[in-house]
Amino acid sequence: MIGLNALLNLGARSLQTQSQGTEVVGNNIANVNNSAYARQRVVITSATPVSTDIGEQGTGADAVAIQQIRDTVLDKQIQGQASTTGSLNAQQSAMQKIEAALGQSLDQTTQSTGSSATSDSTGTQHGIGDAINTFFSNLQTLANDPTSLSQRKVVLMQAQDLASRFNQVADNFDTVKSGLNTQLDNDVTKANQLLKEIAKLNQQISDAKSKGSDPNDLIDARTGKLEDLASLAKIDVTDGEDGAVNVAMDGQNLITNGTLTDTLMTVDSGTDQKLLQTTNGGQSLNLTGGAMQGIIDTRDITLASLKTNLNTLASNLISEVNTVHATGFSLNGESGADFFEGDSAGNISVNASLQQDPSKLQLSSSPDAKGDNSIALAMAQLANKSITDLNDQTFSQNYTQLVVTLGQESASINSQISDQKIVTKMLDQQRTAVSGVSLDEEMTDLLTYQKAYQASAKIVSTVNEMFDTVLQMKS
Amino acid sequence: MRVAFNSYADNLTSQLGDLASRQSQLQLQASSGQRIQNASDDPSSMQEVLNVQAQAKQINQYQNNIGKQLDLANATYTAINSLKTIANRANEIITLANDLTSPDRLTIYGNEVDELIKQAVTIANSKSNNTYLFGGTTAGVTPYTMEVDDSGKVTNVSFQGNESVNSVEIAPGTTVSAQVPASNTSGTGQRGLFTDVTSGADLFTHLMSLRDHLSAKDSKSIRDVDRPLLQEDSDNVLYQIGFNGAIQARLQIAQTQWKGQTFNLNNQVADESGADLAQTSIRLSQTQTAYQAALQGSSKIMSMSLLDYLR
Repeated sequence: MIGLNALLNLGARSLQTQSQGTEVVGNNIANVNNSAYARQRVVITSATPVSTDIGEQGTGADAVAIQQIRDTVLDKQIQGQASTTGSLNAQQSAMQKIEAALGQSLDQTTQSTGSSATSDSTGTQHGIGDAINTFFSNLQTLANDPTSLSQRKVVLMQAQDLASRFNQVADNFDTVKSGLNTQLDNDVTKANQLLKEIAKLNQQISDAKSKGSDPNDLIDARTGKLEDLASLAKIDVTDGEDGAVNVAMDGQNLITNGTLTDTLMTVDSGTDQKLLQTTNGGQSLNLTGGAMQGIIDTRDITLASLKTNLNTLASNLISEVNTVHATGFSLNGESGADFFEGDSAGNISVNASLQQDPSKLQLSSSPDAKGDNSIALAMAQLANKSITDLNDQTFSQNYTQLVVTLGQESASINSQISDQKIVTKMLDQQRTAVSGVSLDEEMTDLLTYQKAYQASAKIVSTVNEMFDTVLQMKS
Repeated sequence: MRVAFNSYADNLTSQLGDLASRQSQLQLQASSGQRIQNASDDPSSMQEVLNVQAQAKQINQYQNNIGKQLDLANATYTAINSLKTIANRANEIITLANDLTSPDRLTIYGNEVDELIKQAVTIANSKSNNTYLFGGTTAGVTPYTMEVDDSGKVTNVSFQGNESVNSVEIAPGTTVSAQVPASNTSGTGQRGLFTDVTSGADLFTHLMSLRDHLSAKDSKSIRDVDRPLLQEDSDNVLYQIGFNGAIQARLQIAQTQWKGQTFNLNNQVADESGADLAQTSIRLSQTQTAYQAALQGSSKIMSMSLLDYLR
């Protein structure tokens, strides 16, 4: 038998235990909208029993720990998927910018320039494609009346419009590239900040562990930061001492033994292509996931290839048109002038002297036959010429291929994002099912602890009455 | 499976996001009538549509070219037909002159032929859209000039143009010219209308010869020399009328073909990129219903709580 004093003590401990349970429930409810939070439970175990004549007798219960309900395997999976999601989202965002920069869209509500409203209702295509088609179409019209100065002016203006569209798209590509570089810088700043915060949390967690406590809220915060960092760049996280974690990127240690040992920085390779490397180690980083990898890949593969192809298209257009034009004769009998100037999409323009004086357009094959249209016709017929440097495609076909290739890459990313959303959603649901706070559960637990508290209080008051009874017996 | 409090909110947010995105996409399709706007919407259809639109633009241009060539062919036909009238009258005069005995009548016919020459020169200098029909590829140069003596008689008609013609494209790699060369002295290429070495035509020279023989009352030369020569001119004019008809027929066939092709291309674009309005409307309606259901269902579930039953 443990006696009244021990019984009173049991009641007091029980009150404390139930009270702690209520506090944890309260904490869970308070964090119901904290996405990084994992629900907690009070671990209650029986107090050490005492031996009595009739056997071992219990002495109540103690709250021995506050346990975090977390599935670390799921956490690691989510962290890994964050890198994939981050990369895909960054690629999608960059692709959308590139598509907008190219400015190629379909519009069936308007007619293309020069189309008769009654016959052709296939619509128009905004962008360079329409300008290429219109340029060659206007050359055909000019071939019908090669001496017409007004028609020559129309061709020159249309050619300048085509050149301007090439310039504009090339300029837009440069702007997108510059924007991606800036975004990379911003992401590096964010990643470095996260690394600092993770290292600091590591320290706090180690301190708490060394004092024998469970720093659940700090672990929640660190898990969230690690996922944020993983969405920026694929990281390798390993467990260190005293609850700390080590972080490495492409084999380069950034947080070692819980301490920040290196950070990230961008370096310009000299071609406005910013790349990543470690600040202290100076090691180049070749990322395989995360937003920064998405940015670099889109910039260096998709955008670079698109720009190269656009320049190839522009330079071939310049050389093919110039080659034919140079053989012709103007209305004044001059020959040998170029039609286009420049050598790429960025600097293509129409020969300024032609723009000033349309009679200098060299459309005749003979200086004595001003009305001859042979060269105009030959220039117009370039529309259907298969160009070796353009994979044996015509100008229009090559441009269409360029647009469609971008579209395919963009569609592929969109499709991957849709799939990735499902994976992420499933994992999030699983984690929420394990770690998320259920208000119904918490309210039930609250009731349980409340009733237990009331019952414990009843024990104390009963023991009190028993004491009174004993004291009255003496008097 | 255990359901956390925020699962409802997370699921609702995700579902509403997806449904709103689909609604927006379907609404855009319904309002524009287009299933695709950008290459990423459907790359293969985009490729098809861009190629078809480029083709349609080219065909539209070919149709414009054909229209202009038909205008030129019509104007040329009018001129050749007028020339035929002149050639016929000249042959008529030869026949009449052969039967005449009155020298005065021959002189009158001689004067008439001189007027025919002047009219032929006017025809030879005909214009269409401010361009000489028979000047070849020389621009701004009057094709034929004539010299007259004091009595107003034509003494010489000279050709200032060249023997080339301009062609335009009416199909990829296929060119055609409705222009007729006024002269062909080489014997290769298209026959000349006024002078042609192959057919022996030389209208102005032959008319002047007839006029001179009429004035000289040289019936023998009219019969033996001028008749066969002017017959060659008449035959050449008839050949040119036939050639012009053939060109016009060819152009009209090409025009009809392109019209049919344009119709097919329009259908092709509609098939590839057009939104089926009935289907789109139904899908939009379904998505809207799903959106409402998600809102309604979630609001009911989320409004229920154990708290409502605890006192």
